[in-house]
Amino acid sequence: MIRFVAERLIGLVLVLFVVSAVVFFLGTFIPGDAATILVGSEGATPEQFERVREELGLNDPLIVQYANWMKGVVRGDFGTSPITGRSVNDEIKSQFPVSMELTLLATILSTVIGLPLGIFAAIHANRITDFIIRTTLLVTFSVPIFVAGILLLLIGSRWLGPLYTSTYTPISEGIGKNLQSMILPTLSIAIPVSAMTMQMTRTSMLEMLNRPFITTARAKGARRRNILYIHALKNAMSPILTLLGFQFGILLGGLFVVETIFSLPGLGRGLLTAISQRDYLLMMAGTMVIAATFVIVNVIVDLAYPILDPRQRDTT
Amino acid sequence: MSAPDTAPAKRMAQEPRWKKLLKNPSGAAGVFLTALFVFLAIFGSWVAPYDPNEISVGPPIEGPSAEHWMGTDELGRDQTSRIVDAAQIAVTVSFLSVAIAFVVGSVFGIIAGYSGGWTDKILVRVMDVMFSFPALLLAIVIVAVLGPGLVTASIAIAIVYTPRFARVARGASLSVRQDLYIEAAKLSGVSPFRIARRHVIPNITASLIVLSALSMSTAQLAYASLSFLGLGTNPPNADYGSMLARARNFMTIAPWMIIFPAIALILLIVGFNLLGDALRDVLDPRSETEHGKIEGVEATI
Repeated sequence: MIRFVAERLIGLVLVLFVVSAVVFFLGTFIPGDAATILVGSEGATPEQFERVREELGLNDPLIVQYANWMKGVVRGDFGTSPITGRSVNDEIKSQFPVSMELTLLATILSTVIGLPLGIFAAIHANRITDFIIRTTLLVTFSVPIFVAGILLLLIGSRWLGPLYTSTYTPISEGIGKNLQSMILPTLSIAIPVSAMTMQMTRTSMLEMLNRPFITTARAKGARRRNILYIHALKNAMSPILTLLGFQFGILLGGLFVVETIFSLPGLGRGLLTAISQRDYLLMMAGTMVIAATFVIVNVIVDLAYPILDPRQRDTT
Repeated sequence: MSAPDTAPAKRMAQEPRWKKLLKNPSGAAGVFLTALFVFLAIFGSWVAPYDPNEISVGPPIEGPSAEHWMGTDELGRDQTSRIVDAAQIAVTVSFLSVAIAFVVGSVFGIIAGYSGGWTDKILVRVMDVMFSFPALLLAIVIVAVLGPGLVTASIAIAIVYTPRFARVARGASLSVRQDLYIEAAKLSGVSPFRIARRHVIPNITASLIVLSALSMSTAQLAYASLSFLGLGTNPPNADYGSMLARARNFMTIAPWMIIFPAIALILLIVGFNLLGDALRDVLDPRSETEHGKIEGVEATI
């Protein structure tokens, strides 16, 4: 077990290191550099241009630039943005909680919706309910997150009245107001994602309910509720858990569109702005933070398997 | 083997696959929706009542009417024509990105799975790194590097999807590699290239085709998001994502500018999803097992 955890953690560090290199070198390929943006393409003399490039270290070989950047990153310092003049750490610190709150709320909401519905669908599996459920699911997860967002915004602005606010309120100004501004963004991610949770729960539960040990439990006269929740659901959890790890990637992808639609000052919108302003340091930091969160969550999911499934404790 | 009672069963199994696909109601619906959008993509300019990019063919921001069934946008362009026209870009991106990912991913996957050893290890590591980015994040960064546009967005989506195809192709060729007939072919001196072409590829195409069909829907989801964020085709070309992005500004006064493109986009994705599900049922016998179903759900993501 300790070896398993240690292996995962070392793997995590290695992946993060490679991710940082990929992010950095992809960043350098983006056409146009910070110097051009700072000096402006018109009216600047080549000398001015050169001086700014020299100051920003843009004339150093790429490897040196990468090493300098990494030196800061391992110490948790992403540098100061030459575009805004602000510390990248501060920007990320203000954006991260917004995005994490949104992801967390969406994960909770989609599980709360998807899991019971999936169990329900598995228990009531017959031709008619099955058809209705499968059709609803199919349409639901064919709705892109941004379309769900826009439609919710449309519904919200027309009919929801007091429930709807178009501006983001930070938690510091009251949790009620904050949650109010998060309802629609959370729903727009949670609805398509809950369809996936439901689909997976249904499949996984159906699979388990057909296993011989369920028949045995039934024959022994175990209570229906115990059979469902102790025997079946517990065993059905590991594919559902795998899906949660995958879904996290969709949730993080959803941040870009949802934060844009609902004007939330999070990582997704921050990253898009950084890209359009050629603010490399902020862009690299944002990408790193999002990718790292994704990798870490998946490692946590990996570590959770042996807890759920005793068979995996010895073999891995 | 030649027992007489197995003969009818064998004949049943040989029922043409496309017939099986169309017999399945959701398969038929998937084929219909996909065919409809492919038709619009090819013949759209003949079907569309107006030039999709011509401004002021009607009054700006007017609701659905007899002349403009789906209303007009803020520049007085006909929404019906723009929605029909956008099918071309949508279908092209889906096919193009999946085709690139299919070819590149399968080649790498087959090489990795079939040759094993160091080649395999390196490819698996590269795939792991690519999987450690959320899909849309990677696509956005790649488009930022390549510049926005139809082809670059397709390439970005293809790069994001390549590891999925590589993984399926690798897994399938790994399991085929251990089969006896491959051993037999090797012993009789058949070249590795010929073994790959004659024995490995035919055995893994079914899973790859299923993955392709399912990826078409997710590729479309991804492209629509890119286009919504302004990283798709350049204006004035009609594109579901960018139409919705602009319509957002007129949301309260012109809901039809949102509702019709949204319905078109959702129908297209539903069509690809239905087609993929039905193809999986028809082509992939493993789909009844736990493994196949999980694979399927992963693929839709």
